[in-house]
Amino acid sequence: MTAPIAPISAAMPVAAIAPVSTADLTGAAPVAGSGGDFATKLAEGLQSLQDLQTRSSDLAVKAATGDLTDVHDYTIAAAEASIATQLTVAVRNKAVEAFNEIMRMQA
Amino acid sequence: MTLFNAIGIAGSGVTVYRKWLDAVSDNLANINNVTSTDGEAFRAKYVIAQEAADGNGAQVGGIVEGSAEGRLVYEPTHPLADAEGYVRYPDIDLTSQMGQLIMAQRAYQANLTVVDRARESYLAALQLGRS
Repeated sequence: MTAPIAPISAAMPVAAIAPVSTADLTGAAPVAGSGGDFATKLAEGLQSLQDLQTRSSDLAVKAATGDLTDVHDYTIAAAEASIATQLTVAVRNKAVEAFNEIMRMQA
Repeated sequence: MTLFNAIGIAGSGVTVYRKWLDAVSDNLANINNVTSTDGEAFRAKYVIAQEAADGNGAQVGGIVEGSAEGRLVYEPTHPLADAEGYVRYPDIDLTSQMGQLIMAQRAYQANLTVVDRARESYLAALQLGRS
């Protein structure tokens, strides 16, 4: 003969979850001060990419018109612009990825 | 430039060695110039390389010229020869110039290799965490 299964009682109360205080959230706030926030950094990065692209284009025009004195000036500028573009794209992809990850979070 | 310092620094080196190549090329092109003894011989050009003003890389500080005295060579049949039969040649040593040519070329290539390696390294850094 088997013993009857004990009914589930409310004897195991779940401890109340401590509310998240705003103090915890502000701890993860953007680091203000010397470094500047992410948006500023992003804008600076885009500006430096723009400068590199402009320099590369100027040298390309010089190469076409025959005003280029150093061949390597153009190839190096082009390489720098290419790497900077890839870096910017990588940062952008990571940011979008992080955003999507947050949007997938269950309510 | 702070983002790609290695590339910029190596680029300044490439520029310096390009100018050295130009100087050697100029010296070799004029090595057989003959002048009369009352004129000046061709002055050899020597590139002065130094650290860049901003501390990143190298730059050409200036060009030093060799002696205008050159060397006197006895060539009485030369149309420019003086009464004693002497003409003036520039004081440039072909062997030394060829040695400098090799050094400049190798250094130029070395700096370009640095540019290439730095580029490869930066691209590898961009692959971090992509898999």
